Amino acid sequence: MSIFLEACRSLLKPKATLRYPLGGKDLLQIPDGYRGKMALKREACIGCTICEKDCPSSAITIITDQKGKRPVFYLDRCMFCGQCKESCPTKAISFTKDFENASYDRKTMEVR
Amino acid sequence: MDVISSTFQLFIFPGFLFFILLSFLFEWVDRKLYAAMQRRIGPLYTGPLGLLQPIADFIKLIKKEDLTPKYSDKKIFNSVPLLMCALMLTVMLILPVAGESGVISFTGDVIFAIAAMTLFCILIFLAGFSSMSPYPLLGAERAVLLLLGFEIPLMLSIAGCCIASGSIEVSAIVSWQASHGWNIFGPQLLGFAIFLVAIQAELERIPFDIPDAEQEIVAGWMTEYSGRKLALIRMARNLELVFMSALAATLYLGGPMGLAPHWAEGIAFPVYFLLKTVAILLILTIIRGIFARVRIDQMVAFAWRYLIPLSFLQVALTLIWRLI
Amino acid sequence: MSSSYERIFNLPLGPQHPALKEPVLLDLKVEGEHVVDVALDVSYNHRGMEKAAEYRTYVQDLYLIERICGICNIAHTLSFCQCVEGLHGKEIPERAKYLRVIAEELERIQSHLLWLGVAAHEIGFDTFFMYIWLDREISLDLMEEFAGNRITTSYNAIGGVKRDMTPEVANKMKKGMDKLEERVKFYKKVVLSERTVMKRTMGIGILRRDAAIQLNAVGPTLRASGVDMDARADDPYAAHSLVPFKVVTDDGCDAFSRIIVRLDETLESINMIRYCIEKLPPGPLLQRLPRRVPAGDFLTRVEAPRGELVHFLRADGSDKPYRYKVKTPTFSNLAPLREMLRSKGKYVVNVADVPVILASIDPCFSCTSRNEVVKSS
Repeated sequence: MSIFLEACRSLLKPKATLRYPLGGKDLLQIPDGYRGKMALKREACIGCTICEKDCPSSAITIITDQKGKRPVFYLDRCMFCGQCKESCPTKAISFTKDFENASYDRKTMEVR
Repeated sequence: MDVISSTFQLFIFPGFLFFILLSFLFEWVDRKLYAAMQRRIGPLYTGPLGLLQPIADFIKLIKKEDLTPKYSDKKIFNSVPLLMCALMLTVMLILPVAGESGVISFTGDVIFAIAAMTLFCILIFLAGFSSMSPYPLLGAERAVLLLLGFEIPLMLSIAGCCIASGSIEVSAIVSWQASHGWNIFGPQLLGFAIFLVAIQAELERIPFDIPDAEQEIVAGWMTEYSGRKLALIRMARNLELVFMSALAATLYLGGPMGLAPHWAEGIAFPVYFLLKTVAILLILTIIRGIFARVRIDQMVAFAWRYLIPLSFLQVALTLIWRLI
Repeated sequence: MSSSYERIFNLPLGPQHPALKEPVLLDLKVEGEHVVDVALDVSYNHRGMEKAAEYRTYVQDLYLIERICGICNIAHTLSFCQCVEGLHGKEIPERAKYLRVIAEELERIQSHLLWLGVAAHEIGFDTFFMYIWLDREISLDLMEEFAGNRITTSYNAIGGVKRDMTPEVANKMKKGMDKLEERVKFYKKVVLSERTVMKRTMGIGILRRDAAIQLNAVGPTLRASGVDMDARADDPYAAHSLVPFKVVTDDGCDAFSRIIVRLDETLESINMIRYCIEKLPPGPLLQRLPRRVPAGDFLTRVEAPRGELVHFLRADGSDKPYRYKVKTPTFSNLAPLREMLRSKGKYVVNVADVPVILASIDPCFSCTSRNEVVKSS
């Protein structure tokens, strides 16, 4: 009987389904500290390569640019565990709230 | 002229096309209300408010690959979906939609309706049995057990209506209700409740969806069907849903008859028919939403312990009512 | 030929079946609607994780171990971290211990609600299932605020936890707990008053107290047979020795009492989280530990939502494990499951009861499948 009353109440309540992809990105509330696409503070990075060694899914490779060594993140392999941020001695790596990373092109899934 | 009008009646309104479209509408109402009870949206994107979603599903299934299992009894297996649709469409014609009587009307058409319901169960059994696979076999076995449990209360509750109006013709029952008041207001109220429970079982909907219990035996007797055949079976089941709720409206809620000025009867009666049938459908869907599935032995025990004695009581009450 | 040959036939339930969320084969011997015997085959999902753990460093293993099971990821990482910390012989900070309890209990809430929804679905009660999973979203959203992700949280780190609980999150958590408590109480009322739910679960999947102990059942399955056994109380880890809670038991021994035990445990977890938020001590979060782990053996028991989880680590002094071994609760519950699925005397199992019984142990076969069983014959 209680489930019948609950069902009647539910008929009047707003729907719980979020029409996410068609209703727009604003429907979802992404909390602070969400682990989305990562960002690198280039000036803080010292090129120590610890992040490359610690990455569990080998999603980081180290390249050399004009300022020295720096990591490149491959989002197609990344599992967003956050270990690179943990391991970084200078806190150069941070995570943004950007979660819509799927793409047809692998080139767009690199964070340089 | 007569030929054209009866052809129109047979194929367009209130014939095959009308009922098929109605069956799609009913599926939509059923899904939408069921979703609303669960705080979901339900069908949404195809057509306004997802109204065309059942039709889209039907077309999708028709386009899909049609498989026949190697060891099945192919003749029976392939003919059952067609027979189901044909049976349901034929028996639909006795339903009064725009007046007192349906497209076809004869003495004893109530008995024809009961026979069609039983035949539908037998077709289900054939479908499961000819598939030669363990899940459909169990499903078919369960469908027959369901028939054993719920056919008698169903027939007895219909018999109550027939006794009350003193006729076994649908049009006579409808006109009797028009002059004496709806059957539901009287000793038939109990019969109405029994009828609703029994058709819920006949339609294989929760709590009595035992022959195609998804979590136990996959899709039950329909497991091996795919593509066109599955589309036809789904349509036949939707037609059965329309038929059962329309029959309930006809027998207990006075059919399409209602208050209307004489000139507007042609429009008002089908509208009344729709309103009453959808009202029955809403009750059926709410029942579907608030129960868990019972087990087959519990179901048969429930039918024989409570429903059948109650339906006998109801027939006796009707007889006493009539004698007074 | 005997007549029993014709009456008994095989009904394979799985590896692909709507009642199952994961691959397992229940080969049922069926006589009409009655199950006579059952053979279990669980090795469809072997992923070689224990071997893979030997080729990765401890830091990387943390995330591999986390992925043994999505639902009980915190219990798995907690066990792993305890193994490593144990070999180092270091205590983690007090605040981290409390935060680990919060994370673990939050996980228990979402796992039990998930299970309750699945159980409702298995008895064909889809409306109930939808309501429960809607309220499970509350706990998942809290988890996302608290740990950064809904399921694979990456919350535990070797030597502590990764992130702190801010006052805002604590406030949200308190509010969410109030809402969840109200809803779980409502579900208990529904379960105790709905006739069809009781009809489908009472007297189903009976596991007597002595059989449960003998066959080594764990977790809510064991506690629903009236045995007071819980790793959190018997062998306290993290802050469990400081947080008061009651071990929930029930003497019903059937699927219904497993529902009641899990619902009561959810209520207990809600109270534990409230207590932890109230008593959260200040201090650091992480005790940095060296990457090389001293040689030795270590074994931990953690009470995962599904039951007692055992992790074993043998280290040889390098930065990679020498051997890693996991025993999941579902593995322990398989023998009791077979006992529950066999008709014996007056106790009859119907085909319709099989999904309910299977769901009642809260199976997780992708966790279990790492334990490959090699038959001798």
